[in-house]
Amino acid sequence: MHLSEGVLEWPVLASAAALATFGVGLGMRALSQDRLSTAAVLTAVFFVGGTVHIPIGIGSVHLVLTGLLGLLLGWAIFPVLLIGLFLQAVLLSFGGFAVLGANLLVLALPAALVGALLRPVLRSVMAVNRNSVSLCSAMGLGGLSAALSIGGSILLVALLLWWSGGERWLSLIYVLSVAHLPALLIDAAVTALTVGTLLRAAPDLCQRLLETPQHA
Amino acid sequence: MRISQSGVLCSLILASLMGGEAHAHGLRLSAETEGNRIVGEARYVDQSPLVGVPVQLHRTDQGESEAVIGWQSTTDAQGAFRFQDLPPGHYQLRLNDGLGHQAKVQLELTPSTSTQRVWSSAEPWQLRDLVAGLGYIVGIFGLLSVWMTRRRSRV
Repeated sequence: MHLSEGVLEWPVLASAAALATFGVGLGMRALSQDRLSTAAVLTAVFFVGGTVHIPIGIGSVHLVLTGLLGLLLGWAIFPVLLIGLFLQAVLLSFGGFAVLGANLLVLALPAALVGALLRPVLRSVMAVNRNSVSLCSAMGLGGLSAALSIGGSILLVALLLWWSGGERWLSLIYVLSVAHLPALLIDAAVTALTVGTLLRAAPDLCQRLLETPQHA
Repeated sequence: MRISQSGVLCSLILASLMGGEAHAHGLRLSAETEGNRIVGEARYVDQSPLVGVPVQLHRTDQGESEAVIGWQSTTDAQGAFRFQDLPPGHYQLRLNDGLGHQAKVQLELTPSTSTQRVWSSAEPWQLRDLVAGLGYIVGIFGLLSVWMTRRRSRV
């Protein structure tokens, strides 16, 4: 899902970086001190999860996990992914510094929007009753969050590539879209299972994370 | 049985670390000159080879009109490629895997038997890089916590 250096034109890079900076500002307001430790752990999950390789046919897909982070953190996903993507660029050569803003925007914006949409639904599902039906509903919401987040990221990548090169990148847009469909399905399954595990093992933590943050 | 919250989150990280072969996005293009040949290989930073990817070789010392004239090869199962019977001159190797990852390196082919070895900047990463990243994350969020505490105490 990471875009590499040299693919996007500088006006696209600059615009994406400006929007991503705005997102980080919004995210910092949503990142209250009592959520810092969880945000740190989820940053680590994103940083390491991106290196997990799942073989599919002759190729492979990677965990993205933005759906999980968007659902648990909301807009705070922006600063969390900024740190994760920066460290991935420095230590693992994923993406690059020039495309950091574009990669942040592509991964965080759809997840934050999906989180804003689904967090209240998940909160109400958890508030009704903690039985197996609500657990399955929550897992379904987790899977839906991952699918919508990655689907949105694919659309944003396609949009940035089209803006940057028009028909020159048409084949790349097609290849990227098709290549990430298995990632979408696997990420949805992993996110659904993770949400289910978290709700069963640490319901209080989930409840706290889903509450609207109180700004200082 | 109730599992602690930090235990659940730490197990997520450990599960990621034990997730088998790691795969990465950056790629490393290395090449060297051998007489009138250029040989090289292309690998992702986790050392897995790029298979069946076109590699383009362009002259860069004969003006803009000539620069577009080039040769093309394809990487084999080990990510290796070669160009043969090349005239002396300055060249640029370009590789694009079709998934947004690309690399290029400059080479000079001389009539002498001396060899030149070049590679693109992406370095292979190892487990210690992942561990270092986790350490940085702890440090960054620790500093954020200190900053928030001081800001709150001022207010």
